[in-house]
Amino acid sequence: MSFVCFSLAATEFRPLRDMETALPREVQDLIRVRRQAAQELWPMIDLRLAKDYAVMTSLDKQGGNLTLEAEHRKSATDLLRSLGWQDVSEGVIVAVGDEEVHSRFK
Amino acid sequence: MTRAVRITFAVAAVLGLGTGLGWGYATGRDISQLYADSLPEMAPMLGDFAVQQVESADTDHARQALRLEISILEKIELLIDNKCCRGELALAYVRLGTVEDAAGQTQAKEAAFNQARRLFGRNGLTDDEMRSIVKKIDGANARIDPTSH
Repeated sequence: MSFVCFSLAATEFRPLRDMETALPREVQDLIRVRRQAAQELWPMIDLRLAKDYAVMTSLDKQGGNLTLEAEHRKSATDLLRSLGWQDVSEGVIVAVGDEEVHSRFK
Repeated sequence: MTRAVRITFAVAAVLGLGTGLGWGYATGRDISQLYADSLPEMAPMLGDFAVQQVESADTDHARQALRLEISILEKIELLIDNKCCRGELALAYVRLGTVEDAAGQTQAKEAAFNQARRLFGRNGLTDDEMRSIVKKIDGANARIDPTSH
């Protein structure tokens, strides 16, 4: 995650650490919704999940948790690939995570 | 329930997700309230999903995303408000027409642009004028919020 994003998040009302706590719960909720949702809706949920995993990847990296970082990056990459994304490089995952943080703190 | 999950659940409910199921939305009245609460956020979320797919995914997935957006917006209009999503729908049809054009699907392109024309309520609009409207809107969104699509 870029410095700009972390600075932005740090100055906002909701602390970034809240996001660290909220994201795993949100992922579980989304997985639950996905299980019950019509199949045609899965891509939309998958993109939401990929964004959450991308943010978690960046947070893991910042926290030095390399195992979780790799796990979350793989989840984000696999989901984006399943959505037909051509470029699922590390740079794209970082950009997706940054955009998600921006959108939540704007 | 976080905002993102709440909106996702509301969208899922439009498509026939079983009600209740431990979410605290056990009755039709609760679901109606969920729609009402989430409606202002649902259309933009659907639009963001489709636009992001058009920008980053292959043609089949882009087409699939736009058709999903259109299908859900049309269902929302039927369920809640007959004209609530007309503008979003018109834009989605223009984007679909553009994707079909790029894929060389002339008939599908024509059908999508004709739908958009009908929704804009201006029969004289050309394909290029409609594309230009979408470009201007996307450009404006990007200036207002650099993370939007």
